[in-house]
Amino acid sequence: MLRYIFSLLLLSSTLWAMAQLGTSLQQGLSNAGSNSGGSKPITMKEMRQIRKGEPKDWSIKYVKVSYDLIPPGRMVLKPGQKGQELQASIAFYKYFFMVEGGFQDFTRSKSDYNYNSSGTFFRFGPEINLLKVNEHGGSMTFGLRYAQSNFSDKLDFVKATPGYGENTFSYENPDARLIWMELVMGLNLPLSDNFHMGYTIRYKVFRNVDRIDVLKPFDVPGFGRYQKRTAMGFSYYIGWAIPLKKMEEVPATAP
Amino acid sequence: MRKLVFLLFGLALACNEIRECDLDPDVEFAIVGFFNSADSTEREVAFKSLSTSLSDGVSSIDTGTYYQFYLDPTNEEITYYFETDSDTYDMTFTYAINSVNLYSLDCGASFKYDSLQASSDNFDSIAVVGPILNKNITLNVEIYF
Repeated sequence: MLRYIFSLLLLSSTLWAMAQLGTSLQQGLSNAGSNSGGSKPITMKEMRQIRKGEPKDWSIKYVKVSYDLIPPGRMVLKPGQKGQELQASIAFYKYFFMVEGGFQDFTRSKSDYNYNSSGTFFRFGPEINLLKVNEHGGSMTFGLRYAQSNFSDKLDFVKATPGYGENTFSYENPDARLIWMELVMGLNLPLSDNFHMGYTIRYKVFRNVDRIDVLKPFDVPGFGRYQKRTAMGFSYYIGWAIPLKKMEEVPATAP
Repeated sequence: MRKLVFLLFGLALACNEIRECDLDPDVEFAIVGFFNSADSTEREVAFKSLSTSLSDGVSSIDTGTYYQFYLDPTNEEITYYFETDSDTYDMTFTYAINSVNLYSLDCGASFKYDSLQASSDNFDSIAVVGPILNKNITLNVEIYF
């Protein structure tokens, strides 16, 4: 039951964030209109042409450090699933470069088996902001990640086979590695000048494992269930942005 | 907006665990069929008892053509002995444990066997038609005598 409540809380947060985005977009359009004197509405095509004419500033605007709220939430709901994750990003023009890292320690137990998977993971890759660049750092992004997990796992179990009785088995992968790629979409909104909140939805593909023995992993830190060739992921971040350079004002001549 | 809420709600539910033992495609026994060596037709056989190299008298088996022979997960070779009123036959399986999987948390661990081989001095011929043990494979070994 708790997991459903947790899922619904996430859903509510998502809808709230989308409502905020809608407000931001409306404000953005309204600001663009006010720059033109408020007398003449402009089309999207005109808006794109205006943006093309704007100066491109490639200097690093800010560095942001974020903390993923999902792992601690999972630790509360499922005590056998420990983990933490941090994200660091730098912003330049309408692009971001993201680096993420963390650890997970999952234990699954029933009367006839005990499984543990533990290790670290990291991801990095670029993202592009699909919204107009703004000083406060609000963004809706699409990006790619290269990801790698270094982990160990162990399965102890008791199994009864007809004719051979009940036997105890133990298998482990002491030094396994999984590499995969991610397609990510994210929404990030400033709650105050430097305090941000947002989420990232991940689609994990092209998984490739090595350094495993007979035991096929069940949980892989940072990836999820190994048995599935692809996986979905969701991160909900709170972050603190450290501005390095204030954005230049849009020229007054812009309509 | 309603569609979006519906989709997101579905996504939230989909993120919960699948509890299906049917996801496990592996079986831990070889399916053996008996055939007449003269015309390759199915042959009904009846053995008084069945035992292995590890234990005596595993079970008695009924009359039939197809039988399941469980493999020993602690070894990679097992010999079965079939006893009739007049004779005793033996058949040795060799195999490899390809992997150990935990497909579903509800169903526990399972072994995936492959590289199945079968040999015997008592039967006319033996053919391994399915060296991988899987739910989709209906026959692993054909015995002709």
